[in-house]
Amino acid sequence: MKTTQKIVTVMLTAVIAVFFMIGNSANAQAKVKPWPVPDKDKALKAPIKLSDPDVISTGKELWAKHCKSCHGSKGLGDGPKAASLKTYPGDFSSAAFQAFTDGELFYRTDKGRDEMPSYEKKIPEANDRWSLIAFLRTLKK
Amino acid sequence: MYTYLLSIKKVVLGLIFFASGIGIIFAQDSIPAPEKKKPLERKPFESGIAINEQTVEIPPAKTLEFVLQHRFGTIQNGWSDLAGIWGASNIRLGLNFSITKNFLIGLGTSKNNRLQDLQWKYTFLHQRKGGFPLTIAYYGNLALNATNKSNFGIEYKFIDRLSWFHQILVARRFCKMFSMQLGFSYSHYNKVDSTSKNDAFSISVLGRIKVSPQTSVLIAYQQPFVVNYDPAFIIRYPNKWMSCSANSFPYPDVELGVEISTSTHSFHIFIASAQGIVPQQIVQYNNNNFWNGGILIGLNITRLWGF
Repeated sequence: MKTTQKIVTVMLTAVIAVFFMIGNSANAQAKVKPWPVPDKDKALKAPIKLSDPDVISTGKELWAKHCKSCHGSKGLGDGPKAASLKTYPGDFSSAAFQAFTDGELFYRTDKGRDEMPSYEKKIPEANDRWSLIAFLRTLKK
Repeated sequence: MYTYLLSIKKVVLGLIFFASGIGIIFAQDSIPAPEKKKPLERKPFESGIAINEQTVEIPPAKTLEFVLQHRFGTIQNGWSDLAGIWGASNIRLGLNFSITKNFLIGLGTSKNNRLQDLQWKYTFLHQRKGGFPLTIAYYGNLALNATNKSNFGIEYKFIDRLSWFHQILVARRFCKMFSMQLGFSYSHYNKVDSTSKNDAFSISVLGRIKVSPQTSVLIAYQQPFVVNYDPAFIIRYPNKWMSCSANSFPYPDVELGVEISTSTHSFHIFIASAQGIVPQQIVQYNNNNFWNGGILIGLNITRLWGF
């Protein structure tokens, strides 16, 4: 009986340890690498009013269709596809993210990198892509 | 023979009149210029197809689109074949490529009649904010029936296998929630059996109601108008060279479904009456009366790759 108890204890410990390791490995996504943006793109200003409610509404619609699946509905990097990505999609509500200029956010949305697709063709109208930037600003904590 | 040619003349004159009407609309002074300064209106539909209808949408240039269209059997057998899901089905697999942002070509293969189709679509006018009110496109296809030649009768010629379809699509996005499209088509089969006619026109109406950023309800109706070439019939009823009915073959197609769209996919799940997928099959060979239980479940899936 004592031998049986020992075996059961060891097996339970092993199972718990395996789950712990799996749980930790799921969180072991690579952190976002620095993403340099050319100076002229960094300084780019939106041709439309990013505080316009209609612009933000358009951005929200586009976010739901193109971005939410990875970045999450509130931009916390917790969308349904996020766990399968090699790189953490980022917390867009953070002060660090919101400190990027409009031009930097527009450039990265346009060009994409690695698992992040380029949206220059997927969203062909530039004003639509700017409306996404307008929505990103509303994610601030 | 004279009466037959007279009926052909009526068809051709009708098409010329229709095309002239479109030209007159474009020539009106009421259309503001310069259009290039007015921004484009957002697109009225998420995908190039909506249930059984083509839409004015073309994916961005250099986009490859895979299309899978599946139609189950009708629900008339009830649970015995799981409302048609285990019944005789029709399937089409297609690939489209947007050569430019306004021009698309595609190839497809279908199970019913082993149709191999080549299709093309060109959007030549776009709705603009504060400007031109409509998006207008032309869609066409050429289909080849690849079944055994014994299906074409004793005087078989290769061209008997061919059919084609031409359609003008006129769409408008009224607001974020609602878009509508009208379609005017002409289709022709080189060879038909005794129960069918070679030529038909159709008018279709498609509505999209957007209920959330990714989900829409789609409703459509397509009414065929069959061209009667029987000289004896035309002599007796000269004003009835074209006929249509909601209650006889070919039946109109009634479509109701839901669309879910993402960045790269579009999914439709719906009920409709036509089991045909290639448009001329829907217009000229719909055997199912929607209002008499001729309803089937169908689904479409599209996937986009950008290059």
